[in-house]
Amino acid sequence: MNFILAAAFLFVLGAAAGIALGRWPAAARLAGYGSAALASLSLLLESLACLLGGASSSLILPGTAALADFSFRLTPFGALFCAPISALGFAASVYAVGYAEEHDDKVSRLVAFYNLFLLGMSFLPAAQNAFSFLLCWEWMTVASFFLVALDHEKSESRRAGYIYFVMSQAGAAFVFALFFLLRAAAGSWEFEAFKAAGPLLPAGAKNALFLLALIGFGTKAGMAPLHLWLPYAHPAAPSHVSALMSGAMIKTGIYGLLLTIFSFLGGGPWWWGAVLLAAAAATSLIGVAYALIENDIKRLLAYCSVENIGVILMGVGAGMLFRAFGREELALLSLSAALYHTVNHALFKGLLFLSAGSVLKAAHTRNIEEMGGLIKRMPLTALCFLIGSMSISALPPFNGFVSEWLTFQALLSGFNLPTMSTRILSLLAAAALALTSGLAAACFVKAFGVAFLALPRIDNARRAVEASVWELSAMGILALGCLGLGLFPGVVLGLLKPAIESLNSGPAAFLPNPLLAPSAADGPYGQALPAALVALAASAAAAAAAAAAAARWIGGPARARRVPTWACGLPELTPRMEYTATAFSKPFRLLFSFIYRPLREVSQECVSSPYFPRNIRYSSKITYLIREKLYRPPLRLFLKVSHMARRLQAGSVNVYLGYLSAAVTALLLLSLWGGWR
Amino acid sequence: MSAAAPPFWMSQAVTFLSAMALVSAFGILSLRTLPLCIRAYAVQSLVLGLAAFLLAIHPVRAHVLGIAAVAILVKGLAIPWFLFKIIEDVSIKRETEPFVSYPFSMLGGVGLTLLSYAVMEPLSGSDPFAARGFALALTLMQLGLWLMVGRKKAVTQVVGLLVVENGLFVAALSVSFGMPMIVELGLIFDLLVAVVVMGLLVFRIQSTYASINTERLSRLKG
Repeated sequence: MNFILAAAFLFVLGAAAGIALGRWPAAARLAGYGSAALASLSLLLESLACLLGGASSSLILPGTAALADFSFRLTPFGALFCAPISALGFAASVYAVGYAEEHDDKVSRLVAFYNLFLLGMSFLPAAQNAFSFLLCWEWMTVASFFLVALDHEKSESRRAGYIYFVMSQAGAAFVFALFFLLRAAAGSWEFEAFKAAGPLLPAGAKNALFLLALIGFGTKAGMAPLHLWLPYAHPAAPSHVSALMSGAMIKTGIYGLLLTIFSFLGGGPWWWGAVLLAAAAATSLIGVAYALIENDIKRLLAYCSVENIGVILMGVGAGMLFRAFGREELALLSLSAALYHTVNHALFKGLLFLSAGSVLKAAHTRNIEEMGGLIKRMPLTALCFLIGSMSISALPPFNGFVSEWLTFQALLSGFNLPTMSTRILSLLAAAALALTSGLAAACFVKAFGVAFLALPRIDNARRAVEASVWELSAMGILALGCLGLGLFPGVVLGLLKPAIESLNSGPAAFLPNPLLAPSAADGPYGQALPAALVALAASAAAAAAAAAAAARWIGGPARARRVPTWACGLPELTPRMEYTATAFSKPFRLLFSFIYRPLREVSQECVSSPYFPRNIRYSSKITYLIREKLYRPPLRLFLKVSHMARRLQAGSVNVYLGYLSAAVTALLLLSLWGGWR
Repeated sequence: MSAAAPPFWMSQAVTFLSAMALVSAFGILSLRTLPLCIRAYAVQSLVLGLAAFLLAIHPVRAHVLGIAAVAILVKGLAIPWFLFKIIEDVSIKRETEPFVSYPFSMLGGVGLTLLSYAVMEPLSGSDPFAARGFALALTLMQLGLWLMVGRKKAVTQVVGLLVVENGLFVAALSVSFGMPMIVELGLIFDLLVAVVVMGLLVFRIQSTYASINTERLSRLKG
């Protein structure tokens, strides 16, 4: 059975069902999302089969004569990206059956564009020529634009959609230029031809192509300072779409970047890796810095995606550095780390966005300062969010730990690089990664603590109810995935191997066990095995359980007493006494004030003396440096020039006719001067 | 020009009529009251129709004859009558304060005429008749456009457009003794419809702004 064809058919069917059943929202949801879930499941099976060594079925449709065919076939490398995309697609579709009743007034649009978006995105890694790739690329972008701008009545959504569309298309222009240049060099649209012709290009051309790929794919991936669209677009879309955009779509940028650099160009000089590593370190720090002080839960997660893209790109950059200096085994370690983190991020970011969506649906606010106490009302959602938070903060036994651990190993192996500058760079990147993971943990302590613990702050949070079975089962699948990928890293690394070999177009000499010390020859400087840690944790837990049992045996059965929290003698505890998110992030705001440039304003209204204030107003905001310093000035210049150009359009009929007349006269003069040549 | 050369009086007559068309174009450019402008346009159309008629009788070309008749009827009589009706209904008689002053618009017209003839000069070696016809056609088009640029009243701009169309008529006549019958007839009826539509537009402008100055229509811009 041709799973790829079946998936394409099911996606189209789902979109059609969404449009046809628009009057019966519940049926439209069930049919549309059900069909998307089935399609994603079949693609997931196909990619896993491909990674396990099976041959992929292919889908080739005849194209126009001038261009190439529509050719789709999974390579192991493509399958490695297709697998998390379709796994997340499956979970998000199941989730949406229950969740999307929020958006039932626009059910047709949502279901149709959702299916089309998934179609474009999950076929992208299977594209086998530039034409099919670019088609899927634009398809994905345009469909997701309509999803971002779904609530087009809100000016906030329109603005988000506009920023997203403009930045994506600007990035796409670079991707188009890249592929057109490769097409000119290879004489064919096929990726096979690119792989043959690319490595033979002169160095200058390769550098230009690398920069095009970095900007074009970097925009989609959300690499700083091209990440500006993420914090706008992700909160505006419905949560299951945000999960896909953040967990899966930005990975297509990583896919394109890796494909171009390693497959088409066959690696490059060391400075490529250095540039990428520096950009990645900056990306992860910027992402986590803004995530830390953000109080909008979805925007917080969006900034966190920027951070994780930075972590992934650190692995890629380190891999390029190692390869440039001929340390093949370390390059493979770095690439494994990057790809592992790519898969992991899809799972835990998907999980976090889905659980945030359920919270949103229950509490009707995105501001975590208004939530609180949700763990009592939505215990399972809280558990899922907690698992996601632990994964993203790289705590064992969840998957985030393994990939961040591998990335650390790779970066610390920078000791083995021959030149001092690259050694320092790689260690600086390791330091940046350490800072990032620490801040990310702080960020999720804040998000979980303020949103789920203590007392509810608004009535909606007080009335919140647990999410539906659809939502919980989708989150459960992803949570289990997070746990599984953390407990069995060996299996995952085994799947990564064929993918990396297909990326390099040849067998690769892997380290026997990348989880252990990367290079025994250079001396052991770090060993850990998650399984060993788990065993340690398990034995500690067993010891604790035994101690508890012993205590109970000695002291008799325990009696549970439910009493209020001790309030230092105050009559009662109110939500106004709670620790707020802003207060939690205050030390960081002060510590990193050179990034945030915080502004604080306190105004007091007094009756007679300053000791008896009637009310105190406090406001605090930060400056978004990249937006203000990097984007604003050129934008302002552009608008100024546009305003000047607008004077041409005077609105007077006579002036327009004058332009016409002047043009005709000028052409006549030109012909007179040229003398009818 | 075809092999059978026309008699001397006839080529003289065609040249005279062409000159008249040019003079009437300058007339439209310099006259200040709208009825006179329309009358000058009618004269121009009649003169050009007559020239087409002369070209059609020796040797006899039936379709040019038909075109000449329709041109005289529609452009020489129907359209001027309709324009008169419009200016009577909106009761606007004079073009006050034009965009381009009258002396300057005459000067510009002279310049455009010289330019048109200079552009067509290199052609006169191979086919003098077509070159002269083209020069006249180009001049009429340029002058019509120049008229539209310089005036504010919608009616004058309509007249400018009609002069441009007369230029096209001359061009068609001089290159192949008229386009195919059906095209030429279609063009003339298009023109009729266009003038009716523009007439309605003039009424709308009048009723909206209590003026037919097109400078009031300046709000439609980005």
